[in-house]
Amino acid sequence: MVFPYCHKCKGTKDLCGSGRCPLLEEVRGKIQPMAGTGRSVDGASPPSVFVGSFGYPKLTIGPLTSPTPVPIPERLERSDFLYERSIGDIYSIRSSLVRGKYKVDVGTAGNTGPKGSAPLYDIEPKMQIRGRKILDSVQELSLSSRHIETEMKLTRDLRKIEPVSVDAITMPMGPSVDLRSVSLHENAKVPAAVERSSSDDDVTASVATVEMYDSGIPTDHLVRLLSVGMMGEGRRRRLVPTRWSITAVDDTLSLDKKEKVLELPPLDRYLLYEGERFGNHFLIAFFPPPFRFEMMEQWQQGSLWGEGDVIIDHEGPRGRKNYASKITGAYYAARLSALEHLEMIRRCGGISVIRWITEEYWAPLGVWVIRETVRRALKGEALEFEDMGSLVRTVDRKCGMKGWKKKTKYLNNREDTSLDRFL
Amino acid sequence: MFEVDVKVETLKSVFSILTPIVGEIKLSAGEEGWNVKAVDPAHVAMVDLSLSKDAFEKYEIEPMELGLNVERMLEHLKGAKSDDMVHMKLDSDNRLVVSMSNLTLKIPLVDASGFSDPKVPNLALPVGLKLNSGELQKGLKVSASISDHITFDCTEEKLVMTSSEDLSSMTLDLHKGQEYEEIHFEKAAKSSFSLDYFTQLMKGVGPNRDIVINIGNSYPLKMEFDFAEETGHARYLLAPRIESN
Repeated sequence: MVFPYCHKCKGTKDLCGSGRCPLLEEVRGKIQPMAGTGRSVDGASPPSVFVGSFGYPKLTIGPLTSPTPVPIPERLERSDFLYERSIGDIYSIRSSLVRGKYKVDVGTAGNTGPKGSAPLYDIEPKMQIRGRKILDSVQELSLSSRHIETEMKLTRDLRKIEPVSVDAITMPMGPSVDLRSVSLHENAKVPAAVERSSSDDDVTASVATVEMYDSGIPTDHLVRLLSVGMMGEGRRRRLVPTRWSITAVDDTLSLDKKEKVLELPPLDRYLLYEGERFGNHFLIAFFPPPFRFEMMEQWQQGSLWGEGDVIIDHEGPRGRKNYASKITGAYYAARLSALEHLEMIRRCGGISVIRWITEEYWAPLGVWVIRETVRRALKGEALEFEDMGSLVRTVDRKCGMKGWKKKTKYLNNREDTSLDRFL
Repeated sequence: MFEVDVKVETLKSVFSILTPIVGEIKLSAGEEGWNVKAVDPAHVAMVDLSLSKDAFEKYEIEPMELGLNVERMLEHLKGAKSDDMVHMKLDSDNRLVVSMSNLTLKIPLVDASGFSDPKVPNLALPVGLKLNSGELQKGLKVSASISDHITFDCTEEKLVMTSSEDLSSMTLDLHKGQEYEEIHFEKAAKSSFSLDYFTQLMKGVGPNRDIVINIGNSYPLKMEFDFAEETGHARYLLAPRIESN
């Protein structure tokens, strides 16, 4: 049963009152999970960690570990590897990752003193030693760029647990089980940039994010570090649910890109790129300054959340102050990839992203799909136009959704200009 | 050498005029007074502000450039009463010392060495009108409830402000000799502007102030006014929204 509000909820708000999203239940039924057994998992963590969104300010944290031996465990977490697989394959690959969880307070991450200071359980005797140990292991995992052999002791037998987790923002995962303990059998391999930024208690998390990204640390690693409180000013460090961390990293990085792009010479042509993956169809248009960004989206008949209206979130040259609540995480992922492209071609301009989702997208994979598909589309050949009119006509011809013309803020015959045009 | 005495009202005006455009400025303090030119990060709006040395009770300056954070200066000045006199000077650590009655602030300067002077477009605009800022504000306020842009259409006899979206629309007529005074008129002019920016600029202009606006055809808007008892002069430019085919 698909309700009109399914697009707004995407399995997170329980708007239908079923308790569990019936659409996601249906997806679960179609997936071939890898079966796990027993009360312990001994294997490689890619590395991967997860911080749940529910129960704030007490959140569940823990590693994701695969009991099945895989040749290159790092791949389980890498979007460029998963991008090449089918949806079914991605689910079965990712479902081999067992998520251990243990509830700790969000503030615990901020109490980590500088190296050599007294351990936390001396300062706060009431703090559970077990929680501290698990947090330590999870933080160690978050630092590493290479997989780590990890052993998780569980409270329940894996056979009794639902074998797969499905979510719209994060990557799919296997069963999640309460932890007794975690032990790491190897040391983390920590890239120099990560070592530097994570141990610096004086820089804010946004500065650290940008510094590490510029040194070549991939976004998934940044998400991991942010979520377990491994960056930011010492006492302000917090646990951040993985879902929020993903959007926070995309937002922080794209704001930094925007600042750089604003300094670049104006784009003097109209460009259009297209791309598609897993039934996510994209048209990405660039036009002369000032900087503006809009994203329009429609879930179509047969896609995961059923047929919806064309929705839009946008921001003018002055940027946005509130959350892009209609498009949500995908907005920030697309904005990052598009701004990176402007930075690469060394031009400032406006951006429109159009996304329509068809029936091939039968299970949610996470916003990495948007980031990656837009990024790859922009590596392709662009169609070039001399004026907005020609661009709009071509968009209209290629666009697989109706009604976008009524919604768009920028793809029309009213063009904002910048003062540079009148010099 | 940088030492001035100035009314807090005057300083507040200066920074309130700048704040819609930029967060940090390079203030050029010369022998005849202050000047600031700044463009917003997206290059949509620009300000050119000057304050004559007549605005100051005391003005002892060797020409220099100071980098200041506008937002923070406004915050600092909140501590003063409206008729206070502000004393400002640079100390030996290159900090700005601001004292007003019994309150003293020491503020580090912003590094302005990287701030380039914005290029100012040279505009010859066919229509110039003088009016009260309240008239414009009325039109802008109402049109914000309708759309995200506003159109100025000026003919010999009147200036029409319109705004429309889907089926809603707003029209405000201003008449020559009544709501506005003609300064010059070569030919009819029509331009549209983003309301987001325009409303911000009007906050800088302030209520009930005599302003001169210049309009062209799909060309930037120029808006000028005096402040601080005519010892200060400010000019805003705003890029238009162009209708293409």
